[in-house]
Amino acid sequence: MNPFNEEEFLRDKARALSSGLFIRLDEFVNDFPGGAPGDLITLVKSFLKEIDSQLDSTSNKKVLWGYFYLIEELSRSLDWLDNAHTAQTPRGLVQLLEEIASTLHPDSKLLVAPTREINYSIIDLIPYYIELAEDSLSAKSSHPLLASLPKQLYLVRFPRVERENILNHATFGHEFGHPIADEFIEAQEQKPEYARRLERLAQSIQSDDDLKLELEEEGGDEVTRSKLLTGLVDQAREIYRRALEELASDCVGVCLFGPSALFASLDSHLQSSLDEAPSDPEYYPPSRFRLRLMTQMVRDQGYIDAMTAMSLPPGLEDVRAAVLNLFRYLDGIAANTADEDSLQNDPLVRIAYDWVRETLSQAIQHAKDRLSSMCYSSSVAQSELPTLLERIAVDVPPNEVGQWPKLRPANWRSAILASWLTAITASSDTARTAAERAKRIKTIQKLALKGIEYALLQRKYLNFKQHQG
Amino acid sequence: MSVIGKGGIDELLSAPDPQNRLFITPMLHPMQVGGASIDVRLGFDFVTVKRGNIGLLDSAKPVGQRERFRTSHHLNIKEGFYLHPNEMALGSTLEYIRLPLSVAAYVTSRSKWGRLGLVIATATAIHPGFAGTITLELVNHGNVPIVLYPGDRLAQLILNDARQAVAYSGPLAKQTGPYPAAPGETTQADDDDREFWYPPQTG
Repeated sequence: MNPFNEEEFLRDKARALSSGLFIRLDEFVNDFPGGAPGDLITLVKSFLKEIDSQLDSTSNKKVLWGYFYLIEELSRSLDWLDNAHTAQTPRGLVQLLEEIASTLHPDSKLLVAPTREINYSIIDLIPYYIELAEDSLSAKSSHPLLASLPKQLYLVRFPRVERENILNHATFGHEFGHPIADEFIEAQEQKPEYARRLERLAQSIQSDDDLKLELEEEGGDEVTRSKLLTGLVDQAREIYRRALEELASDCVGVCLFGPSALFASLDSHLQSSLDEAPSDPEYYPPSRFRLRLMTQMVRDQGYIDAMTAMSLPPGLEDVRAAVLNLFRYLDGIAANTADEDSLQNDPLVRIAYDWVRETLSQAIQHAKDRLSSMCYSSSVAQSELPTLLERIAVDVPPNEVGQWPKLRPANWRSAILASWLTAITASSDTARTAAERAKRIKTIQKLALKGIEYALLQRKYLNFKQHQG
Repeated sequence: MSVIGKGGIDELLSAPDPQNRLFITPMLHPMQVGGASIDVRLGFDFVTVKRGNIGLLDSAKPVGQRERFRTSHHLNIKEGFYLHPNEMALGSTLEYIRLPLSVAAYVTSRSKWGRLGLVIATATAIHPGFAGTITLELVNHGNVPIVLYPGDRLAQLILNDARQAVAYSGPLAKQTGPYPAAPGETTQADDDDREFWYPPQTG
């Protein structure tokens, strides 16, 4: 019997782990005959084949442990694939996300999956896999593994508990905003004015009475003082960056989804303090600040006027009253300036937000330019909403407008907005019991989801017929 | 009770009052409206039974944990569903249908599929006022597997006049996919009579 050989032991374990992961991936085959989940499975399998081919050629324990770590990392993909694009993921949601991504990020692929967390997120997985390949397999960019990667593979996650609530999925407008906001911030950081603005930021910190005192009391010698100042500048820059990211993303949400983005954000904003100042580590802007900005944007883009002026069919007048009541409520929130007081109370936050106010309009303009034809418009809303509201009122999905035989697919954003307006009206109907209202809202969500699926399918079918001649 | 022909169907589809309008959506192709029927397509969702998880279906017993014996299948465009000989699966129409109170309907196979051995519905009546997708009970009575694709024009609706109807509000109302009912699932009327018809349940 040979003595125990740690390298062989590790090699066997790594191979068993790799084989286990390979089989688990194969088990997904029933769920995913193709599409982005199939692409991810192929990618992870390629990694595993590469690891297997390298396992025999090394006897370095560190490298063998590295393969262990790599397979463990790759097994995270199982979590991402779980229930992606299955019956657990609404088809209408996948379709609308693909519709947005096809314009904003052509050639990208989307992996849409539920998560147990009450959180929406979009993350590009490609940088993660590139880093794994480069660090753990020493792969160069010409390596077949890297050469075959799609441009972007976005992992899109939504709260599983909210699966059918397509109305709240308008939150994805904000999530699509993050890469756009990042583009703006990164471009800004390359400009010479940015360095000058940082200098001004440092001056503002040094001339603020409270911060000056902090620097003097804790600064000690010049080197320590300089380090402290750099730390404060970095923190202010982070507050600025995070504010711009979130606020510009909110505006992208409104551009993409119209007022539905604002309505979908109410859940998260109203459940926390409206006036909490940005704090480490996320530095979220105060909710009241965000609601004020989005409400203003909705107003500036003409949606409130459109909903006031839209010609409603008989029996649906209460929709207008309910939605205008909601905007009165939001105006009340916006008129209160307690959030501004919170921002002023912390000197570093105040200085960072002075900078935010200088730049925010440029960030919003960048977002609008970037979205261009993807933006929803109040004129489309005004023309389509009455018919769609009428359809929902008789329990029919809000997917088309016009008159038989000249029906045409509605804009899917109108389908969501009409559903939101009906849901807001149902919530305001205190003549019904809470259980009746909940049942009605559930029906509205189902109709909305079907309406989106149908509208996108009809659009695709029309394009096909046009190409067919 | 008379069957409604093409002219009547067109009138119903374009009725100005939505309460009196016939909705069949999305009607992707105008040729779906025939002389006295409307072709409807197969949708994207299917439900099959996990036989290993269920002993029997007994209408005397309430159904618990229905998800244990059902599997949902969700197809994309161009993906096929394989229905094997003697297999039953639930599907649904692609189209969402809302009948006005003046119209009843029944759903039946298109003959092309019937000749292959495919039965698409056994409970074929659609009540006035019904709104939702129609659940199809797909059974392959042929000898070879049949591949079904979303969008296949499997079935047709025949519409009839109805008089003094009350709107349907049963469990199938406003469904947007296959509805897998079970025999132990009851309506209010069934509940009132349970003790009369069924043996006492223990445990």
